Amino acid sequence: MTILFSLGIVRGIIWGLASGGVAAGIVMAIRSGLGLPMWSPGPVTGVAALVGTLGFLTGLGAFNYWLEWALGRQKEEHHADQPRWRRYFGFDTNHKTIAIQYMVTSFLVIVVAGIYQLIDRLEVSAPGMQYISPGTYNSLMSLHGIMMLGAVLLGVSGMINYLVPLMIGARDMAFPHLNALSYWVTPPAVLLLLVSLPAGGFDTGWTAYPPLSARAPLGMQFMLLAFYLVGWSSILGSINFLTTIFKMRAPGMGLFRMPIFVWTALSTAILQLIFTQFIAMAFLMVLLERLLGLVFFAPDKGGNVILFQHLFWFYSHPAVYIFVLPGLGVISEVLPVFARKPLFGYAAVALSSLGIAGGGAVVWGHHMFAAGIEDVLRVPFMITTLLVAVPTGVKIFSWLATLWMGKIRLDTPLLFALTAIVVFLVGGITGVPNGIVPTDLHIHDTYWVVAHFHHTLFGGFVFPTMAAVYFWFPKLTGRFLNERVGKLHWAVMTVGFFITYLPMFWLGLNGMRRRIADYDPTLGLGPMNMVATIGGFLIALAMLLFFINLVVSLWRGAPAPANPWRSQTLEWQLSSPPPDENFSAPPRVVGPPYGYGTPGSIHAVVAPAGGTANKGA
Amino acid sequence: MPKPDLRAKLRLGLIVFVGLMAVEVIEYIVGTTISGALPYLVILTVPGAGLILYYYMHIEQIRHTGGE
Amino acid sequence: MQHPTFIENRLAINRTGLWLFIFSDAFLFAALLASRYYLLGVLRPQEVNQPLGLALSIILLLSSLTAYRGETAAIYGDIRRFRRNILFTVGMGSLFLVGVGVEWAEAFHSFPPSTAYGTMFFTLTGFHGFHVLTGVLALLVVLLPGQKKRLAAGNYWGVEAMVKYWHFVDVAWVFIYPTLYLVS
Ligand SMILES: [Cu+2]
Repeated sequence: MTILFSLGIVRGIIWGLASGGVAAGIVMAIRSGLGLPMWSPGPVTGVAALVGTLGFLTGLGAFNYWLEWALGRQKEEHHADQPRWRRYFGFDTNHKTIAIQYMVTSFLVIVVAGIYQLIDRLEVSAPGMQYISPGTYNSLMSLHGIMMLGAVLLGVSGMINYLVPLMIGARDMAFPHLNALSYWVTPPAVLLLLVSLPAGGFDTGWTAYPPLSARAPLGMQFMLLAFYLVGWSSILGSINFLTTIFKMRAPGMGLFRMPIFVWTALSTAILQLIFTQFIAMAFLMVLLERLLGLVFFAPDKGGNVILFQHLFWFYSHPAVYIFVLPGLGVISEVLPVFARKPLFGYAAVALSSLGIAGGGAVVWGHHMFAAGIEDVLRVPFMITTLLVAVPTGVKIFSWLATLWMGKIRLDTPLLFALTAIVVFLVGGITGVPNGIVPTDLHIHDTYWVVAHFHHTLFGGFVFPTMAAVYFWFPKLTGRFLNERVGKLHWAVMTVGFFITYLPMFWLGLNGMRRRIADYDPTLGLGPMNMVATIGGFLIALAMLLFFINLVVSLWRGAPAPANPWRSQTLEWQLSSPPPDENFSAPPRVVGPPYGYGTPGSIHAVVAPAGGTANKGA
Repeated sequence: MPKPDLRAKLRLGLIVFVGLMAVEVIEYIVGTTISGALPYLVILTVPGAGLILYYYMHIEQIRHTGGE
Repeated sequence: MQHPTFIENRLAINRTGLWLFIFSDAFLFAALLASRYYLLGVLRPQEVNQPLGLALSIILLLSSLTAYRGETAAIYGDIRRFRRNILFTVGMGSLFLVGVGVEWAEAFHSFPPSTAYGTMFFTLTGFHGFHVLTGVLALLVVLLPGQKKRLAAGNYWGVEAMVKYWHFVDVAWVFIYPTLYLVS
């Protein structure tokens, strides 16, 4: 029992529930004092959720460090005597702990959001309403979207958290306590997302367009609050990433000696820092309209619904690059190691990430061609949209040139990276008709769009993340994932993916609209929908194989040496798993990160704990 | 303790404040008398914010501490 | 063998982080200001209380001056001057909040939140007021007795951070004031 209460998360939950309950009581008391009906679900649950989140963080101990600082009593940390597993259930400031917390949370959310969509896929696998009501269909579809995006943000933060300090030779993030706070804001957000469905769900899709979102059931409010919290987690995280990359690099680690993953993390963080504010504000405006009767988006009172779309897409288009850039960075890390060649065109690839980030900032209007935006804006947005293909193309050609004439070893990480390249390429090409005004007006809001962005997100996030897990799992745990199960996982997932999403292009062109629970049987869309559903279950099967592989390998996987893939970047020069403090002394960076195939090429010299310096392979 | 240095810095703060006050009062007069004041206000607001950023917030620190 | 140890320039790291936060926060106000112009253009109702608006601006500028003086004094070790100035800044900040309260009470009648201008007015002043409130609390923190030892040891990062944040709140107002009160 005492062990249970010494866990931060248990104290946090108790504090959260208590403070949320008290806050709800106070709101109801104030309401009855003002002569309003005491119970009104919106305000009461909204305030309870926010105060409960603060209470949770307080109980967890998230604010202790700053409280001590304010009172002038800085204490030394002492968590080294804790058993290892307990760190993951409390406010731990080590970036490697936080990274794993992020990743596990991300995978849990992916499972739930995936199950939601499997239910919906079953429903549309044939015309007519079979299993659920249209309202439930809409709620599940909307939650699938927003939860997956939340999960991707968490996954991205997880990967950056683990890899960036190790890759640049730092002992931790620049602000470890802020880092832990950024993570711990997200469990309450996940809880709110889970509560959204029993609270009535919402039928707007993940985009939450008003005026529908201003009137949707209570579930809408939980979703808006949840994403607001995730947004702040994202902003605080990006401050940490940027400061760490700017200020904590090891001696000799010039910007153009950083591994490409760090460059992509840098670009992602810049986007998060700037643009997240806009979606946070857009969602907050909807909340204010729902709760306090403001009229941002009420056309009859001088508001304008298009304002929401501008604010929303001003974030949500760059958000696509937040989602995919680290994944593209992973591909750039994996390919040189398994092709035993330097990354082709390092500097161009490094700068292409910034180019994608910069270009992606001025294309948001392409989501609104059919929404009635000003005619003069359409063509400029079309041109900028097509221009983003240039830096993206730089990456694709660099990968191809890296593979060219390489000594390729087809291990699971490389297999996933190769699938990722193909899928991302298809996603990019099928995006062009969405970016061109005349074609977009026809395929807008059809399954074509669904197929397109699932290609970009699978190619830019899911498959690269799988590659990343198979690649770095030995570093994280000191054990290999099972290679045979890994290859099976890869095969099922790749086949399942194409069976699911290629038919959707056809469906979209033939008139299958997005976000509908039912369709006209005479359109003949039934068989292809059935195929897509079967593919969806294949992806689920692949994920199941993946999770089994993770758990079993954690238990009894083959032990991994420090540098099983003969990689040159810094994280592989440490033991597996790395020591708590990463480096006992600052590593000295002396060369480029991908000098494979060049005899005697060294990226960095790392001093082992208490020994003489040894050369990084 | 270099007292005169402190004096000089405090005086600099005061001069900046006077400048800011001037900007604000001109803005007020422009805004309440001229119709179509937006362009003039933009011209006035930017140096106002610049004064605070440069003299009060020491924005040049970003470069000195190698914020890049 | 002697290992070189990690030398982190904590002050530079902290400054970078704070500037990044301020940079990000600026986009919160940018979103709101952009919304105001998108919804309303330069439309401005006649009922706006002009003298009060000017008074609020002067109060906030004055508080920035004293915040600057407080920080400078702290850097030079003049603790008494530092406390006096920061206390004055806190007072001005509170006065500003009172002024916004008066303005809100009037605004409820002249342009209520259920009109487009009222919506933007209450949201902009509300978000800015929230920043002022947090700024006042932040400045109160550096006046806590626990901070004395740190200042005496020449570690004035806390003061610098809170004062920078306070100036940022002032910069935001420099843009909000003409946007709400003066444009036409
Ligand atoms: Cu887009």
